[in-house]
Amino acid sequence: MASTAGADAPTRPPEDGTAAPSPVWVDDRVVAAFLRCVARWGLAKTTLDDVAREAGCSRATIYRLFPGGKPTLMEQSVTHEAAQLLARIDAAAAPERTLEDVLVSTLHVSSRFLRGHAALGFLIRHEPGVVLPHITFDRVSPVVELAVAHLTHLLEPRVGHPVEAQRLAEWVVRLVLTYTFTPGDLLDLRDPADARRLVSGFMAPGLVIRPEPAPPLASAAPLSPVALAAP
Amino acid sequence: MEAVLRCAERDGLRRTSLEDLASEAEVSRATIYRYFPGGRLQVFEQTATWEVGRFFRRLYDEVADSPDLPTLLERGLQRGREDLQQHHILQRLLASEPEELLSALAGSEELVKAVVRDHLRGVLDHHPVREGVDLDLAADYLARMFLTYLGTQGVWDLSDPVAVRELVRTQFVAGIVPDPV
Repeated sequence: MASTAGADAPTRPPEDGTAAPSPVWVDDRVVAAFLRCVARWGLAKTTLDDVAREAGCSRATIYRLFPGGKPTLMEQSVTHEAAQLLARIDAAAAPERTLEDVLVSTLHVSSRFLRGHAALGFLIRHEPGVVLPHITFDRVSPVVELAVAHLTHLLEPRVGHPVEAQRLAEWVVRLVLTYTFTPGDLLDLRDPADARRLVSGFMAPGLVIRPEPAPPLASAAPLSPVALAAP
Repeated sequence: MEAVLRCAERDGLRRTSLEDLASEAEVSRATIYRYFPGGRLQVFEQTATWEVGRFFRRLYDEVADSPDLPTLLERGLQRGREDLQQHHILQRLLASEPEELLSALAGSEELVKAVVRDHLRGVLDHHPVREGVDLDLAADYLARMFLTYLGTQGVWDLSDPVAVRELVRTQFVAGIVPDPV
């Protein structure tokens, strides 16, 4: 994705004192500048000149780093931000003892990140057509699929079965999305206490944890939820 | 609004101007502006809200006689998804102009959720529930879950009644109704 920064790229060295700015460092700066512009003016009204000015580099540099221009920059900014969120989710989940605790931390970390995200907030309010397609009418955008896959991987060791882990991961993502786009005033998932109310009240009773091997779905035996207190 | 639907089905949203609407509805442009000062986009948004309202009213009539809450939700999901797939205008616009369509629908999201939530709140009032369940919270939760799965099946095959049953009984009502199976 990143090519070597050209002669007109910013030459301020990164703080660790290495000799030249790395392409990844320049990319991050452009993405950050792009997101600031979108937060201020939205996607439609943000031009690459705006981004270049904000990032302190030239348009040529932006095209070099993001061939295809604005759509590429948008796509990669989304991926960049998603990676940030997923890293925070992983970090918050690592010390948690139980599956229920992981669900609580995931919901509340995600909610804080997304609801505090200035560029996303602008788009939800003023350009919903840009963000809504992400999970509506049997279209699931790549970023949502990425999130589900990542969470599936995170949850599988604690759930013990890949299908159940994937269902649970998708359930979490759906809840994060609905509470981000239409928060309402009953529960604020940015508050860990509210996130826990949601998990213990509505998710935990329905969680199915099957030890190996899993019975086929056609089996008549009902699957009873296993107590989640055990780590 | 019926004129909007006809134009949308015929030509799509982008190609439908206020003039087209006025001539289809046999009213003057001035009349349209009087009722919809926001112009063309406002007409689209309000038509979307109107049509969505009709959709859910029809759906509710189709499933209202369900014996219990889980069955109501199961039937609502299955029937609702079938109805969406057979909604010509919706499918046409999704294929050709998803951004315009979703922008028109964005304004009605909160309203739709409120309508579904209020229906379910009414059902919960007369339904056995687990001890300690907050009915407002439960209705809100169920409305959100219903709408997200109505729109997108994701990793589930919701054309399969067995899958729908498992989904509803685990993710929707396990914390709400006593002794889910």
